[in-house]
Amino acid sequence: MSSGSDTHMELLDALPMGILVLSEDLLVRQWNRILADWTGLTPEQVIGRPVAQVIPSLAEPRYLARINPVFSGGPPVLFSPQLHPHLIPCSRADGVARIQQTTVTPLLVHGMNHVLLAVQDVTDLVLTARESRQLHQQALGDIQRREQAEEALQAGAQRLRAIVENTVEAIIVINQQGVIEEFNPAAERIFGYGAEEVIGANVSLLMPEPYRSEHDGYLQRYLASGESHIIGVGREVTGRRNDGATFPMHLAVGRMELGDRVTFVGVLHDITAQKQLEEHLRILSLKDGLTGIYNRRAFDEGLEKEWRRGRRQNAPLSLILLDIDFFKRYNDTYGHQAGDACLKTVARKVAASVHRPGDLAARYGGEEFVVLLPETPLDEARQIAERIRQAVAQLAIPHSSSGVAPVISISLGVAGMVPDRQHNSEALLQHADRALYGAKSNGRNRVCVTRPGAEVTPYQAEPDASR
Amino acid sequence: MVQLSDDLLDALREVINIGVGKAAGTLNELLGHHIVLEVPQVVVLRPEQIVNHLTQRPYDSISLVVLQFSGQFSGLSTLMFTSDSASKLVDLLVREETPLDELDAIKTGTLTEVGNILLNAVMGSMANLLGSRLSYTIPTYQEGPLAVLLRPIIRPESAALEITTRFTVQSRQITGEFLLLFEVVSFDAFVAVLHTALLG
Repeated sequence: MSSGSDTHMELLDALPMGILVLSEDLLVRQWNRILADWTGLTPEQVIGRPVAQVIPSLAEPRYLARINPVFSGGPPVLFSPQLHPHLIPCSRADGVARIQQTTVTPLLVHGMNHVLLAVQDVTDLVLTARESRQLHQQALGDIQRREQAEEALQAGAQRLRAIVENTVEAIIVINQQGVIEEFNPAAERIFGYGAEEVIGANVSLLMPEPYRSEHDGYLQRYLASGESHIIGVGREVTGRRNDGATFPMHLAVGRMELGDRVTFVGVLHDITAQKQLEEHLRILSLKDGLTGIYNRRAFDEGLEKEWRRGRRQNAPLSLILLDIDFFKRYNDTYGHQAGDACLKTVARKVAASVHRPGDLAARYGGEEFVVLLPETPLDEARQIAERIRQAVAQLAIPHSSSGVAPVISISLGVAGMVPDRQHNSEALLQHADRALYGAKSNGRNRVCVTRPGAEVTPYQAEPDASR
Repeated sequence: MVQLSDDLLDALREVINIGVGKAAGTLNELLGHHIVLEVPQVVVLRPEQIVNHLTQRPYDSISLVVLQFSGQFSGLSTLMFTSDSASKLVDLLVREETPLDELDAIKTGTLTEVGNILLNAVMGSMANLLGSRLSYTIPTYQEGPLAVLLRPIIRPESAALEITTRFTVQSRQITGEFLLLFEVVSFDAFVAVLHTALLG
């Protein structure tokens, strides 16, 4: 083959692939039009030149080591588009590097060993294959992800359903109009309605008046202004059972948007028992453990409250402080158990002597008791004190070691004033204490009164004293 | 069919080892990892053994690269990979995920070239040794159950050299098997040339 053979050249130029012929001394012997198009190098520029200058990469040992045996008739060599995509580096007009598949076969030209490199452009094929594979992978991935998401969703929905069905909290879903859409078993238990009875009904069914008529207004106001008295925060409200009974419940409401639909999820539980317990505990905390009447804490709170009320209303407030005479001796004589029994009996008698609302009898400490008398002028309080003194005496609890009587007796100090800004409740207590001291120092088993800024005056029993 | 003496078999094993070693060098470069090669095992299969021996394989599907040669002796030089080994090889060579059971362009191209490298090296070193000039076709790639692939190739009068080699790349074991199929006449000629070349 000579470069001058026009027939050969035409043939090579007509082939739809790049053709490169190398002689054994690694000079370029043929270079067809396709290669010229691809590389921009004309046959005149490359023929007769060492391949190392024309395509330097091709002269690298890793290629030559495989190509060399072909000169001497070795098996053809393949350079696949996967492992050697750019054997002859060149790009398409669109800038994409041409991906090639090259076959190297032996060629005898005039008895001389040559190799023929046939270079096919498989760019489109490979890119299409790669793209379709990516699309395929992507589609597979999408399907898998969707399946996983659906599974997760389904599992999530099932779990959620189980939670709604089994929780002890009542869950009620209503729409924007207040119509009940969901009513879980806990709600059925609490309200005494079956879900089928209430779904479709207005949620106000579950509320007593006046909340019932207010509820629609709340909803409308919330929807209109976003202003909420209950959304997001839990609060205590009153519910109404099927039988009409009302009960305290704790309610938290969440807002849920599904598309353009707004629904409200109410989670609530009956706090009747909790309320009862709270009340019980509150009362316990105000009661004296031994005598069962109010304790000093209850008295302190009551005094503060009545002091403020008296000041507001300009109403007199009176106080009786009383003490069992020679109680230490009683304990010493009869023992502590008898002492405790005596305290209980006296406490009950004292507590029984006052019955107006606001009156409060408490154990002040030890054998000391206190009676708070709102809206009671001092004179009236003094009479009540005298009645208490007599009532206790009439209990006729024997007290052989008493210095004043054969039975249990008490000394009482009475103070009263109209609460004002110049004094505090402590002042009233101090007056009562001074009066009590006066009663004791005047021989016990008697009532003494004191007025602000006045001397303590003993009060003489009046058998027919009445309120 | 002439016998292949132990001496000749040893010599043949040596020649094949050289060829495989060369191929390993080329693959090393391609993979960028060091390839550890075991000494190939060479077994001569008689005509009556071939079908039973080759088609009773447990492999469901194999990748087969076939190179036909003709000249002083003629036949087929084939390289087989189990689908597992084929996938491992492709994984190592092409850093893209290749579906195991999919005959696609990547797998075909890659395995054809790997087969080309290994077959050329083995045939090349054998032809060099024997001083024979052979003509070759361009390698082709096939995939499928071995029995299906081999049935059209194997003739009743075929003899075969089965050459098994294992190579390990990055602690992955990849097994490739060469199968040189001759017709008996050709096999006898091959043995004769081998005898002359090796033992004078």
